[in-house]
Order: sequence, then structure tokens, then C-alpha cells
Amino acid sequence: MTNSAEQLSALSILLSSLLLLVGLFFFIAGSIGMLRFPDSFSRLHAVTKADSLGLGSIVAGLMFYGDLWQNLLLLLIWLLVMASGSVSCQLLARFAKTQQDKA
Amino acid sequence: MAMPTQGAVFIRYAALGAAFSLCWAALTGGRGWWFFLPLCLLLLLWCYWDKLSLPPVRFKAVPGFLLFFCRQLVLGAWDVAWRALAPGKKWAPQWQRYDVSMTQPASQRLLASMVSLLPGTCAVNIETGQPDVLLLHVLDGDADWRSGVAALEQQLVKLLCNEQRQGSTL
Repeated sequence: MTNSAEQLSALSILLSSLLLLVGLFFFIAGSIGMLRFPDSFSRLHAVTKADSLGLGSIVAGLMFYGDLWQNLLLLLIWLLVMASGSVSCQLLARFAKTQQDKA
Repeated sequence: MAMPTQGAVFIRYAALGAAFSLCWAALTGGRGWWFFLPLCLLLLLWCYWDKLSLPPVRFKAVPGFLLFFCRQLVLGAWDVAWRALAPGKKWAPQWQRYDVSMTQPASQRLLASMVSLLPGTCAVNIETGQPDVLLLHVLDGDADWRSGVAALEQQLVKLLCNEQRQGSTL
């Protein structure tokens, strides 16, 4: 990263920390959902939705520390993870449903 | 449907090549281009022969779609986080069916993938028929999930050129 934390303004550090905390909150909520929800399909809801926004928040928080190219790559990584998350959620749910129907 | 011109086809595959390049740059930190270039060419040839490409979009509809999608992403994550953290059981999972009005298989697959990021819904399968039906797992059957899916479908119809808009004669 090109900018160090000392070069950022207090407002940037505050915003970045807030976004990182929001990301952490959604990751924790998703993990608790994984443990609490009653079946595999419901658990997929927790992983896909909460983690997508959680990662988005963390990426947004980290963007304060990077240059333009690094930020673009971070954004692209988030989009890739979100796209693969939603597609793999659908594929896993389809597989689980097929297994459930067979049983 | 009108056949795309050669220029439009070139632009579409150039955009696909740019998307592959960006993914490679993100995943490798911008290294190994000598390996990627022939690989990219092979991928593009495969896409051309199998008629795979990025769906043509109406650029005017992109900002509205992005705003809608971001809003739904936040609402979806908040909804599931609230249900996971609230005391007591805040869920009543159900299977539901949704009649898809979009006609193109690629658009339907896109809808099925994006539905999983909407509040309370997870797509499982697309059952072909008249009309095609999206099989959904709903986290709370009593919640109004149908209006969210219908709004997403409407946004996708506005965005994708392959889909006929209601009331449109084009």
C-alpha cells in the first residue's frame, strides 16, 4: 500500500474503521446464521448475503489505504467473489435439493 | 431478433477480452501476461464457437440497475443478519415458485443467480414450462419476497437488450 495510516486524515481513518467494523459485523452475523439456521438451504442464505456485503464493506474500508490500481483490483475481487458466491449458492442448493428429493 | 453487425460482435468480444484481462490482473497481480495472452485468445475462440458472450445491455439503464442492486444487497444482508442475531426464531423456511416472464435462458440464469442476493430468497432451479418457473427457497414465507423478485426481473428486462419490455414495440 502506498499511503500509510499516518498520511490519512482523521475523517478517513474514522470512515475506514467504521466500514471495517460493519464488514466484521456482517461476517459475524453470517457465521452465527450458519450455526443457528435450521437447514442447509437457510444456511446458504446466511453465507451468500451477509458475507457478500461484509466483504464489500471491508474492501471499501481498505480502499482508503490503496492507490487507484489497487482499489480497482480490490473492487474487482469483491465483484468476482460476489458473482461466484451467488452462482455457487445456486449450484449447492440445486445439489442439496436433488439429494433431498432422492432420499 | 435482429442479427448483430460485425462491428457489434467485435465490440462484444473485445469487452469479453478486457473482462478476462482484468480478472487475470486481479488474480495474479499483473504477472504472467505471456501465458495469459494465448490463453485469452483460446478462451475467446471457444466463446465465439459456442456463441457465448456478454449479453448486450442498454447503457441508459445501467445506473438505475446498479442503484437498485446495491440497495437490495444491503437490505438482503441486513435481513439475514437480523434474523441470525435476533433472539427467538425469526425464520419460517418454505419452498416457493415464481413464474418467470423473461424469455431468454441466459437472462433467466442471471435472474436466478442474482435472486440469491435479494432479501430472503435463494434460487434453486429453473423449471422449463409455460411459463418457466423459478424454484426458490424462501427464508420467511410470510415476508413479501415476491415483490422483490418481480422488481429485480423488471430491472433486468430494462437492462438487457435481448428482453422485450412490456408495451415496447421494438
